[in-house]
Amino acid sequence: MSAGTPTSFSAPEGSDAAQEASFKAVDPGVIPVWRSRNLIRLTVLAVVVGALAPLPLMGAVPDPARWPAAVLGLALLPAALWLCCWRWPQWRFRRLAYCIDDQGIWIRDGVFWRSESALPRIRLQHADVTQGPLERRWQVATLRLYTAGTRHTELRLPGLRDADARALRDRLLAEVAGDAV
Amino acid sequence: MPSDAGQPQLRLHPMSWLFSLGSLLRQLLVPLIAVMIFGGADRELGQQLALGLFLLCVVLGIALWRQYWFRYGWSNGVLLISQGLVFRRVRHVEFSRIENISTQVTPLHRWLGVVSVQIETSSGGRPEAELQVLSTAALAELREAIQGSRAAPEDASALPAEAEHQLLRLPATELIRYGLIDNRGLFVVLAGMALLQQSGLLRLGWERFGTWLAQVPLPDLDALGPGGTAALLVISIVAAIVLLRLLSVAHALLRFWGFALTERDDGFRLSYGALTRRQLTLRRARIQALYQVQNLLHRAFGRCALHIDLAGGVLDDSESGGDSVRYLAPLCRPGQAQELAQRVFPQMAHDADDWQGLAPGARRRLTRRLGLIWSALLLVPGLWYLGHWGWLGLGLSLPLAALQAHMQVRYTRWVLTPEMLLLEQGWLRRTRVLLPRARVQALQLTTSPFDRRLRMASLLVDTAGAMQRPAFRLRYLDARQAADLQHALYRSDPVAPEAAAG
Repeated sequence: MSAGTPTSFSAPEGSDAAQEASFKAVDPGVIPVWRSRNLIRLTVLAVVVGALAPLPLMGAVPDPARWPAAVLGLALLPAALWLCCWRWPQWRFRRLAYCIDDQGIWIRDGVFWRSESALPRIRLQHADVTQGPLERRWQVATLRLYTAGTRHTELRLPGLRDADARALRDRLLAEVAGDAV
Repeated sequence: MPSDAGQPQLRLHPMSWLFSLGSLLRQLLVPLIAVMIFGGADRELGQQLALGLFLLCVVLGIALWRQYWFRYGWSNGVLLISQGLVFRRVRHVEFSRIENISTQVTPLHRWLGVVSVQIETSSGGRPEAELQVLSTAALAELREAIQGSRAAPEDASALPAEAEHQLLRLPATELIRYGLIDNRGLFVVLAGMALLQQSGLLRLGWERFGTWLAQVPLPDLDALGPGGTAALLVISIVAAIVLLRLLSVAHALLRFWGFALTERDDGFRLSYGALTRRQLTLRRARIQALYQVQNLLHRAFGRCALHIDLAGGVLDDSESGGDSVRYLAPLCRPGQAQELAQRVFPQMAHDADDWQGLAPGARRRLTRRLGLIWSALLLVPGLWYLGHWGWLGLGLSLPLAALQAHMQVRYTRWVLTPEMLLLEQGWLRRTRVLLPRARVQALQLTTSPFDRRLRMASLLVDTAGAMQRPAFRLRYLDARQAADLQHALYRSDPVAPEAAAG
């Protein structure tokens, strides 16, 4: 178990480089979708917290010793807003990519906790294209891929152009049908 | 043919209502009790009884109604089941899709000469159809129809191969061992407590216990001194442990009495149970993965357990007895386990030379991680109860973490053979997983910021029946190796070798 020893099963040489090139980014239209979605979520959260927080804070506010913490909290709020609703969608967009090869589909996602999912086409049970109201507004769609597995029965690829998502779904499913015959 | 123009004609056994009443009442038990307690607190006993009787009549009516409109039958290799009059539902289950006909026989079933039947297909979750209940003759007829349709295209060649041969039996001595190893006594006690709690007897018992305790002369206990008190405590703990083990043994004897595992040409058949006799068929093609599990007690007795993951595994609580595993063998010798494994996945190499370990930095990382966990666990209560002496917890947690990390890293290894992914993990409870590459569904490589700094990654391997959560999560792998493994598994031949051979 020494480090870096080549193993007996190593992947075909050079496949990585080829694959690297064939990863495709999704449509930038997904960025405003995420931004609005996070804004809505934060607003809901703020309303809930705002409705509940005054009760325990009522006694704390007059105490001058706690003012610095309160000021710091208020100062952090715009920073959080900027991070969640401005920067993070950009970062995620830069990471999100997919690749279709002869065997199936690869999806790369995540900013800090990154993931790279691989789904052999033959394992695909069915596929859906969904579009929420925000996605409709910016004309993108989410492709959902279902397997018979238990942990990752659903794999999502958001941010595809609507027509692309449909084409991709049809292509994947058609090839499954072709394999099965 | 027992169906006419697509309309099934056969009915359930005349006593079926009794069993559907039973299962309906079980479903209604909690709401019923809630109604009794919350709805009837200020009512008189007569009113409560009347309410109970009324509800019973309603449930009985539902059961009778269901039985009256239930029809089943088959034609042209399709099982037809129609239910209900108002909301009519007709189900078509093709014989070729039926994976398993599992049966359940309780003493009541035996007395009436009937069987509860579950028809399972490979779709997950609930059984495809339930026939509650059929007479044994009707079941035989149904079995014959389904198996007859299967054997037909293969002619006579299928018949002699159908001969079963026995792989494993568990005599009473083994069941006692199983009971001693398995900690199911606790489960029995908890279930009993829940039952007592629901029936209100627990409160009564506590009150009695309280009055009894009040009568015990406590000063006598004081006279024993600290040594005596400690001895009493130890004795009662030991007595509790012995009692729990005895309960476990009794539970094991009841549950697995007469356990027999037999092999048929396309799979295995399990039958076991003293009061409730169960028969299960496991088709080899449905078995997704095999786990050989050995905990400390298993090792002390020189035994291990074999669990399997099934595709579309139907796991209701009554069948599995509360745990989420399917046993292939609740208990066997490690040698036997290897033989059984060869039978489950034939024509595959079950061992290899080039086992791989975790990433080089894994031990240090695990030590850090476990050290943090242990210090948090030891430090907070330590400082709280012992004051400054609590800091000693810090000194204790580091060696503990180092030992645990060392052992975990030492006992975790994996290898990819041409047909399978083999994985061994766990220190106190060791698990060896055998996963055929042809059963892999999806793969996910994940890296956290810590992973990336140390050039590590985790690989999640999903199969169609992975009930056990951590089974296929390979953590702290070398990033490069993990990616290679992902590519190799992704490119595996999707056709199972045994399927190709047969």
